[in-house]
Amino acid sequence: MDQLLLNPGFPLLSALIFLPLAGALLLLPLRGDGACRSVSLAVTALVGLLSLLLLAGFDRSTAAFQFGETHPWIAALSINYTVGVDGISILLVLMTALIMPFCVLASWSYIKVRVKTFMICLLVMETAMIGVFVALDFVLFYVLWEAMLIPMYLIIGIWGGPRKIYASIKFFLYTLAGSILLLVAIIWLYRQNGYSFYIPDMMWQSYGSTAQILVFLAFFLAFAIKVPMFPFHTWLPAAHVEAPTAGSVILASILLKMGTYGFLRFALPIVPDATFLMMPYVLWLSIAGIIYGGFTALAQQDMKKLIAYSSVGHMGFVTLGIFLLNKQGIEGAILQMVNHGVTTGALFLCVGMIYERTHSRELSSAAGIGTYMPVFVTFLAFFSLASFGFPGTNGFIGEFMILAGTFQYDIVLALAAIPGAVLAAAYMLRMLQKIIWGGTDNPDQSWISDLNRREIVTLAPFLLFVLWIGLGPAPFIALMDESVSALLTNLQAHQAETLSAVSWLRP
Amino acid sequence: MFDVMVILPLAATGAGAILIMLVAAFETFRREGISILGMGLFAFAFFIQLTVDNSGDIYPFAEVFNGMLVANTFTKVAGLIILACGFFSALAAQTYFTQNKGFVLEFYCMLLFAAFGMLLLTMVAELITLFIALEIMSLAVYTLVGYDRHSVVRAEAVLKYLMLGAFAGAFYVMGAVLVYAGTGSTSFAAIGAVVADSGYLSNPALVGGSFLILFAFLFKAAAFPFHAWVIDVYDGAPLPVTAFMATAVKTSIFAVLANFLLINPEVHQGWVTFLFYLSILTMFAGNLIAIGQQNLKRMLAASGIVHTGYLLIALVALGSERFSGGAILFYLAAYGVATLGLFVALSYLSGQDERRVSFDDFRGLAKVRPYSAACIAIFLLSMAGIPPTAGFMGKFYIIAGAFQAGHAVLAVLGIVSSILSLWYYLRLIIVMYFREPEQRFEVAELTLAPLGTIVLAVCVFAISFYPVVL
Repeated sequence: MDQLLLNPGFPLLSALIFLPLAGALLLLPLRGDGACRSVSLAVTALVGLLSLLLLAGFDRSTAAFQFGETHPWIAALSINYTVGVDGISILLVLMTALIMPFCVLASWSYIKVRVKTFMICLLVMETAMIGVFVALDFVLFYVLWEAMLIPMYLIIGIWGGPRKIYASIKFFLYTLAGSILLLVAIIWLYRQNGYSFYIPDMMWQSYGSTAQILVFLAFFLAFAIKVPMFPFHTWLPAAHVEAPTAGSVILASILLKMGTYGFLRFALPIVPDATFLMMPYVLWLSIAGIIYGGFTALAQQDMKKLIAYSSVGHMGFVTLGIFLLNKQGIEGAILQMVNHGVTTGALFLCVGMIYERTHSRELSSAAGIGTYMPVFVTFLAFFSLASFGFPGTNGFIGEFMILAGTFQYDIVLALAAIPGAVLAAAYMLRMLQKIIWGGTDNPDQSWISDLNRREIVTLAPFLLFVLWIGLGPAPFIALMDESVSALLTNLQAHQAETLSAVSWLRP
Repeated sequence: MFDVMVILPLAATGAGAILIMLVAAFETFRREGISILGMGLFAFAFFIQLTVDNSGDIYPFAEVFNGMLVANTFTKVAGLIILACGFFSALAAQTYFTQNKGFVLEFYCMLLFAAFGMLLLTMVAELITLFIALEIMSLAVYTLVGYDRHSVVRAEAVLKYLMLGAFAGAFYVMGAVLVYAGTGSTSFAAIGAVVADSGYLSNPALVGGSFLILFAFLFKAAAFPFHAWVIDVYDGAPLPVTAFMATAVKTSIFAVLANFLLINPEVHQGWVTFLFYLSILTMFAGNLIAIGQQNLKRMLAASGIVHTGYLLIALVALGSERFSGGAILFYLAAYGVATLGLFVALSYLSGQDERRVSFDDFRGLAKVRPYSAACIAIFLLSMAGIPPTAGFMGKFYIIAGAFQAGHAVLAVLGIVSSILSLWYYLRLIIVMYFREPEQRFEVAELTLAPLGTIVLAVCVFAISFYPVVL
């Protein structure tokens, strides 16, 4: 277990995982909606603060898993509770822990019925999400990966919009059906590795090529649906449109990242040969997603749908970056995951704030509200610019790194991806133009009030990160640099080995 | 002294049944008292069973019984599951009969007799004793299903069950006779020795006989193509009895089937291909039946067929080095907890005369009774096998076992079937959570079932995270 640096002191990761769950139990006997809101805010804020300790103690000079903890769980099948973070997962853990308090704030007045149940769902989600990013035992990972579906299903199904039942079932069945073959792959890997579910042990082994392709396909189905990659994206707009604001934020900012995290953590290191083989197809699928997402977003009248389709495009950039298998590409992809989490999460919060005032998500009914909500549209403008990668915002850095990596790999591919960036600008500017300046034929909206203090507090940190990553991304890249380098070194070593093994086949 | 301990749970249930029969004759004991007594006896037997240390194979009173019984950890755990099922069925009955008519004091006596037969069934090591145990169990269960003879549905259920059950019993006897003719013994160990000596296929009487025996078991376990009776019988029986049949009967049948299959690897080999196809057909037949049901009891009956299919997968994989009976027992425990939980919850939610039994009757339950709805949702998710519930762990062990034995096809089909099953499990959750309530769900107060439901809901997670059974 040399890839895992055990943490002898305070079990920080376990605290991050189980604190929200304890908070959920604490909510059970509480009465009164106000108390439930305050307690969940306190718990999520505490988790957010604890996650900063993680950052403080993180050693940037090693690619090993840090803050490791391992305890036997089911001895008969050698299943352990093993957790740890490395450079790939730490940003995602931090993002999850830091976004959750704002999800609670965003639901403060939006959720009016069954507040306690809603907060319990949010807290259980947080436990599962942090757990997925730090789990190093495949069974633990799978259990948490699936457990996440239930609270999300309830969040969409109970507090959602008019077509909530359709959306929640589609979400549930789609993601479950995708990940169920993952289980088969996990059990196969378990047998191949001397009955061990420890994930780092499964990496960089030489499995047979047919088996690798099958395992890759199982991984691909599970993760591509979660991302979602074109053409597996159809659940996403439905779920986003119907979910309450906090649900949309969690979906966009964190849940979608699990798919791309899965590719990085599992597909690349466990089945590298299959990854090399499948790489061109996945790259072109990503391009298809970027273009398709852009064009579809351009045609939407519903703001949430617009942002949902823009997510398909942005996540296309992320998968593009990952499967380039070069340094700019992967680092850009990880950064873009965080960027997308920040900007799209913030955009969904903005749409939620409009919805709370006008009770409509239609672009036409929001037209022209800029006159009455100057503070709001200032925020919205920043997030929209960030979303299509305006220089100086975080989106620019991520997309630039990915496109630089693409040029390095293949110029045709890069040229195919460029229109996506243009399309993004087109649909975002269309939305901005309508909302800020909009038509004058809109019914009188002078009664609409600008943001209150709680809403400003909710949006301000997102803006901070938009500008921070946009102007000084170095500390963020430094966090992941060592792990990405190690991943690529291993990948190249493995590739060289495979090439030398099959070189005699060539004339 | 030690032998006494081994058969003490058996003796306690048998003597308890007779005690209740005697006590029921007195005027002083009424429904409440007898319920508490019945539950107490189950709990007592459970704790004795828990304290017995059955490591290794023990033949209690080997000279007296001539090795008819055998006890080991497998039988111990199977017995624990059966007694726990009995306890919770008795608890459900306590509540159920506060709002339903048709109670006789002998109800608990029959429940204990059935449990006695089941405990015996898990421990048998010989064909004739097996038949006696099977009949003790079956006769008690027939009575439980149909004692309310004024009700037409009960009468229909018991008639179907009794007729078909009698056929299965006859098949079994015929099979036992043929096996005896083929091997010259009724003891499992002796049969195993003969098979090891001359091979399984060498002897037509042995092959025919063992298949007849298998048919009888498959009937009792409700496996394809012997599953047709299950829907009507489960639907017609009172809720606590359905709960008992669905869990305890299945546990005892699978325990004895596993014991019989493990006699000899060659017997197991002879059946594997057969069981392989049966398990697939059972899973999919059950799913197709369950998808069409409107009534919860019928849906649960059909889903019981699907779970039989999973258990058959476990039987196919049985005997491979890492996965033995533990996976079967774990699955039975997980399935038992979830099914019992649902039935215990239904026994108070169904109201007067089982008024609420269809999906639509539970519309909006979550708004009126959030805790009951949450517990039911947990049970349903466990049955569907969604992590982190016990049901997922059970399926996981079974699928891992199938892989282990080299049946990847079975593993994949098992997973496909579990996706199909979401259709009908999620349906109830949707109805409970996403629809508006139309009624107040009034139930009888001061009953034990709500408490039992919560205990079982906790158990769903407890046995998932601490799989002591394995």
